[in-house]
Amino acid sequence: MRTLKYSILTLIGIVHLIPFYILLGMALKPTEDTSSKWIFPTNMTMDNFVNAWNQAHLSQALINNVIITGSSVVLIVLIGALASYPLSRFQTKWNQFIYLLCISCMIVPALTILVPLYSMIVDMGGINTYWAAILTQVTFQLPLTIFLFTGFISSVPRELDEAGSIDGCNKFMIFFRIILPLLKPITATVIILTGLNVWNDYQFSIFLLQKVSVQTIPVALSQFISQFQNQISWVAAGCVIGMLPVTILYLFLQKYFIRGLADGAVKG
Amino acid sequence: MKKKMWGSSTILNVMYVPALLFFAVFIFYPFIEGIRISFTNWDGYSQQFSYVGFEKYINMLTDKNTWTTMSNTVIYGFGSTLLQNVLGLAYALFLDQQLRAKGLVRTIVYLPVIISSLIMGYIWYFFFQFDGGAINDIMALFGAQPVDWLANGPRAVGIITFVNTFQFMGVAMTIYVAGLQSIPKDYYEAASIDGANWWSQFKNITLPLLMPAITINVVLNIIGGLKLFDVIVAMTNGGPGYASSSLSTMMYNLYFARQDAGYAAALGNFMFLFIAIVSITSLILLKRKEVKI
Amino acid sequence: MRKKWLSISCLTLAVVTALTACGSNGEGDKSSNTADGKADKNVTLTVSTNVVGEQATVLQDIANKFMTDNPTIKVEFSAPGKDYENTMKVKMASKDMPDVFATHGWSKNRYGEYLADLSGEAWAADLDPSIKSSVTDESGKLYVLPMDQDKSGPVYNIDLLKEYGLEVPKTYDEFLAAAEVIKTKSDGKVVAIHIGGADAWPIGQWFDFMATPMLISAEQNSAQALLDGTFDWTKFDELPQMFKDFYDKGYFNKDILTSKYSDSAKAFAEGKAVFGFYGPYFIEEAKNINPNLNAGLMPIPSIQANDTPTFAGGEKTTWGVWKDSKNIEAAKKFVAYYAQAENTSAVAKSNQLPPGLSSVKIDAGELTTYYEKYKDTPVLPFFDRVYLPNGMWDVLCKNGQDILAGGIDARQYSENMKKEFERLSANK
Repeated sequence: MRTLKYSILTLIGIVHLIPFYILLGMALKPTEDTSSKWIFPTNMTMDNFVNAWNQAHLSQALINNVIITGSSVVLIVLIGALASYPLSRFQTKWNQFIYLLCISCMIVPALTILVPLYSMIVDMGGINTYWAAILTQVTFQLPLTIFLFTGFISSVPRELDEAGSIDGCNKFMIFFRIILPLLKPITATVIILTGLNVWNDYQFSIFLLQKVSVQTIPVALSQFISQFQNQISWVAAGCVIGMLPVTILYLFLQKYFIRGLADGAVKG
Repeated sequence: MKKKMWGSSTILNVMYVPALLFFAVFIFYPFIEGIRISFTNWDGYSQQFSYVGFEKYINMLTDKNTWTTMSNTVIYGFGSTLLQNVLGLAYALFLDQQLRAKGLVRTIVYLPVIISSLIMGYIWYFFFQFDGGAINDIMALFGAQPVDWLANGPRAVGIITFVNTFQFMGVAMTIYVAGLQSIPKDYYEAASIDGANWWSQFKNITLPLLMPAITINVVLNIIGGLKLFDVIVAMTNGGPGYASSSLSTMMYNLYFARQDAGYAAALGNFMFLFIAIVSITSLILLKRKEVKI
Repeated sequence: MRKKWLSISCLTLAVVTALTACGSNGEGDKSSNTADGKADKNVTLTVSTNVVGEQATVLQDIANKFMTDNPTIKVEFSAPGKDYENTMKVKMASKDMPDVFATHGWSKNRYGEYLADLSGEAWAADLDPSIKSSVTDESGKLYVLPMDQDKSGPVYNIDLLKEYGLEVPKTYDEFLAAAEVIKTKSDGKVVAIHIGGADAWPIGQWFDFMATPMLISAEQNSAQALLDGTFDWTKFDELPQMFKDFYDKGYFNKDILTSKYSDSAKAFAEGKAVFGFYGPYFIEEAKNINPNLNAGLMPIPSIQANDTPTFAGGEKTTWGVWKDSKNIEAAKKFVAYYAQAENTSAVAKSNQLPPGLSSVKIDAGELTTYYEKYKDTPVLPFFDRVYLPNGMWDVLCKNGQDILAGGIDARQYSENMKKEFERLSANK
């Protein structure tokens, strides 16, 4: 029985690693090598990494990614947590409507709003700036954040708020002193989920960030694929580079991540 | 008594004002503009257009591609929701046992989420490719004829649903693992003493107490699946013809390639309405089933 | 503990805000410093191109040289790759165009209303007569600087053609005969044409090539009917039927619906396909995989009786100037720099195409011999650019996929063409 379980465990591990094996193989094979995707490169080369790094200005792109993702995540967490408190604690008809309004923002198709949004950002002078990219990202990650935070807060016993109000805290102080510190675990979850979305965002970034000096990794890599030319192995290499920082962050936040969900959100 | 204490909590509503401001500027305003576009024959880039009333909505309803696309979208949405939840829960149950290296395996199952879906789509395209695809390579080892996996519309839809599931089941699994950990162990102990078998424990304890996790997963997966875009673009580009397109890819195609921005906007509004109804209904229904401990 | 966490989050916020602020401040400082330092007004030109890879490097190098020669002008180069057209459409809608941009074949029909007239430029006099009509209109407005001119036709693998004892086919019947020979002699291992149909546009390319001999180049043609909108679309049925028949006979790659352009390049490079219905650029892409590939360029075979083969032509690498650009003088200067003989020549060479200016000598590398050999072959404009309204391309492609997948027949193909043709023409 134990052996069976461990064989299943190994099998799951291997199956889920296959795409990464293929990705790594692509990144390490020279362009001329068209052998089967299963064969690990015999004449391994770092050329794809070097080319991707230089041609796509990935050092700059990494910095841009960190700035945009970092700032967005901070704002997402702050604004999201703030908004979720009244929405989950005081479920009046009006607030329930606001809650559903927030959820439906998750559903709006990006393309229907793309052109009006872009024109507006042009008028605000925000094309090729960090702030416009950050504000856009924050907006589109907030619904998910509110969805997760409200679920979590409703699992925090109301007695805590009441105890706080007896201690003489006003309503805002209750949030900052009592609720906010309890949100730590779910915050790890929000950081991972929304941070990844922002880190990998392409659909808005390709339009908002066109200058090399502000480009993020997905935008920078898109120049390797055009109608008539493909440098898919460079894209693969760039993708591996782009994955590393988030993987490390994930490993770091992982223990909070599972706890975050265990502690609250899923208790409803 | 309680009412009085929380009487004037309306003041706290100011806490969601910043979020609403963001939505108002970056979503509501452009969204209303989008509704306006759906009543025009705009080509998506020039400065001229005229209002055509409901023509684009009528186009949408009479276009046979809309219905292929619609049924594909439903399969993407519900298919991947079902698969992600069943597999995610199965994995979570399996990885909740006392096993060494289960943390590592959980991480591995979660890893695909980190890659952008577009790249994930490209990687899987290399699996299902006809000439030199990873799967056909293996079939050739056994002397089987190569199959052009993605050429057949319904099969391509199935494959894309699978790829989407593969990529995002890690999220579902993680949420279920967290849910399982929050169930007090003594519930199971009591049940064992009563002689309940695994299945009745699962049915009577695990499942009801997992309802909040199920709500989160189902709602997120339905929205994600019904909006599916990147994987389709990378694998089939919605083809052959419109055989594997989703509402998102069809809209993109109409907007940029066909230069029918009015039609694209009409389809987008329809898609918004459809997903909103489906996901909010499931949210409300599932919330009702949640039991409080 | 509680406090610590709060302070950490505040700190992160502060650091990040500081970082962002620094980022934008840094840039602001740079431009204002230089502005103060020099008497001349500094300008920054935004330049955008659809071209990527080797060709983009050539364009970028010239831009760098330009900046050295004109220290007061800074050039911001962007090459978004496959999403170039989409980003440009969004930019047009928002009237926020780059100062200088590439028009990839659509200077008049799509970008026309956003382009400044360049006919007053010194280089305008050197415009090659064969490209002139593609980039100017009746009023004499010159839309762009064409650095090269497309001369497109199918490409073929010279060694394979020799191996099968075949000549370059001149008519479609000869082409079909050649395809049959290839199929039998290679035992189905090598296909006549490889098309990466999953990308859709390669299918459109086939239709775009073949529509010219079918409808335009022969003495009895439908050119005028298409232009004035009186075309009888049942005449179009034959074209999708030809496409379908070619597929049914097994002359295309079997996975035409699921393979991509990159797969075409791979198949052509590895000698698994004899012809490529793309253009000269296809040879280069294949050579990245197999540098020893021996490939040539041929004109599009004729279809109608008494007709001759033709090339498809028009603009390829161009620079246009946004008419509302705030730096219009600098932008024109930038464009004029590319019109210098050595620069135009370098750009045309990187595309292996004839230059767009008659003052520049042709140097298309290995393909020069083909341009010399076929110098009397007529060059007709790409079918869709002249005879179809802008936006029809996708209809060609998607219906092409559909007919192979069995979703529609040739008649419905033409019907769908007609419907979209009328919608898009009405919009104009």
